[in-house]
Amino acid sequence: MPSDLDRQIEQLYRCEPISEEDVKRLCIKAREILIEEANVQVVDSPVTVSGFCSTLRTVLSTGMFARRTSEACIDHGDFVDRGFYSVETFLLLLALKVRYPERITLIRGNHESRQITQVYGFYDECQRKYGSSNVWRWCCEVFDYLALGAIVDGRVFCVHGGLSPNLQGIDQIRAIDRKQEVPHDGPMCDLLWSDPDDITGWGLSPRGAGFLFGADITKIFAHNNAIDLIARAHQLAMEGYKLMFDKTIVTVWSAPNYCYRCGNVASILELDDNLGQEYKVFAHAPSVRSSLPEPPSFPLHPPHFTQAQARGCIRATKREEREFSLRI
Amino acid sequence: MAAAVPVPYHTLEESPNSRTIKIGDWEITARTNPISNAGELDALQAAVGGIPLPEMTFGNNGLKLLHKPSGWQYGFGTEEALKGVKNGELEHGDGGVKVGYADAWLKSRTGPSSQLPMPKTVPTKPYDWTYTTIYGGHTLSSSSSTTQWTPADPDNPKHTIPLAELTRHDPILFYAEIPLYEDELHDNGSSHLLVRIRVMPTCVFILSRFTLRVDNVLFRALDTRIYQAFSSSPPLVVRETSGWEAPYAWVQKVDTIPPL
Repeated sequence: MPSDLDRQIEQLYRCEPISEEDVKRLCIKAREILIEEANVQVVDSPVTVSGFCSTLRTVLSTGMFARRTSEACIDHGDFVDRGFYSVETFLLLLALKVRYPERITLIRGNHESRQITQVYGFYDECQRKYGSSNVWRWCCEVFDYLALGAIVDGRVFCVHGGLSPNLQGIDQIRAIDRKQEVPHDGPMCDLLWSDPDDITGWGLSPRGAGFLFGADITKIFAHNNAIDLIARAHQLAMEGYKLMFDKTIVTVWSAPNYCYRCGNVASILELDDNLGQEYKVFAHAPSVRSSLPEPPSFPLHPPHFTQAQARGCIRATKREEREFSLRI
Repeated sequence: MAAAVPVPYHTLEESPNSRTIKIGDWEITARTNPISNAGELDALQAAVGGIPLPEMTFGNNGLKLLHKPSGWQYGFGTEEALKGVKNGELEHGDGGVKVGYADAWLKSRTGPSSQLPMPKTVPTKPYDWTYTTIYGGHTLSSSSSTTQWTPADPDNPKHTIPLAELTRHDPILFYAEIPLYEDELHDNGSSHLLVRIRVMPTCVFILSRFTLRVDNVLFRALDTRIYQAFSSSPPLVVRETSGWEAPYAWVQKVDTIPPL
């Protein structure tokens, strides 16, 4: 298995998919490792924290992982969807996890879900590359075993989304039964979906579902759990990272040139032995290799309706009657 | 076989983030840049009344048309587009929506069998989080002309946008795609305002389209089309606004997704 795994890592690093049989074995092996992990994995510094995995190669080569063989990496979730190489990216992460289980910590993001991956591209990519939904199903089963958070030296708490009104302490997170599809609501959902906001206390998202939490909530959580910093991802930061609330919380965004057109930079957070923070900023990854075959054309976003499809639709809103009768 | 259309004299200027075509009496510039940075976003947020800005706000993108003889200037820009987004409580007729699972989510926290107490929540700034706007460009303040839009005359064939001309395979002298903003609605869909322009040998054609998909709830497309025929004398610009909205399930029926 070790030499097989190294071969798979080499292949995935070059953005080449591995065989379906290899995927099946890899997923089984990954689950065996992940099932032993806690909801909040305990990690020792020094460690690199990364916020979005679609440019894994750049992340791995930029961070400590490349330079020192004893260093570790925490990845914040959203490993799949929206890019062209979700399959290779996630399988590379799994292969690295199996190869170096103590050095890589994977945290679940809201995209590691059956529902979301059917809308935002991962399911379609698996179908296209493997001709069936098997790989997608096996990966979703792995998602269910991913940890919900990590804690570095007891002082830096890593989670994908944010806090939950039903979880005052990190110990309460440990009590959750995480081995399930991401629920639509509840504390596990909040950890993967909530956002910091410029309010005081808890707020309800204007979308009708989901919480927002303010500086006071963040600082109380930090104080009660004796932590210095909450590192999360989930939201785009033009400069690669965004510190808020007197630096008690940071959004780490590791996908440069998001959706191939934002032109943003990305960052990873390096925590040294003393938990000193260094944000390494990087721009978009160059092509993996020039002979890479063009991916078959498909929309970056899930399929949009076309006007032809829409022509039969109801034109029936009051807004339309009021506003669209002008033909200037 | 259609006769070849003569291509009028025109010049093209290009820099990394800006392209200009000068043709006849017109000068048209398209600017495409990366998304706005934190400082620019703060300023823009203040300018549009404080609503949270879309995740991908292209504050430095825009399209400008200048008619040199009259000094009339028309443009498309992110700030004006965002000013068209409803700021405040959405009332009946404003097209406000919630995500598909909003009711279930709230019920799980407030229903009689709820095991998850709802925290006390503070009011958060109400606004249209779908960023729906019917913005279709605006006359620039630097315009030295006071030309006004007037309602089209339904009996005047020159007051329509000629699809026949626009579907002809004439050479495209200038094309630009200018996103003004995009938002992923927190992984609940997609909201997207995109302006596209093509300059042909005989005309200018612009489509500014706002597209919205709220997963399992609805779709919206709001369009503004602008057409200017170089041959029109005096120069005439036709602007048409239209749109539609449909429930998600209705559109899904049209293009069946295989069951999983």
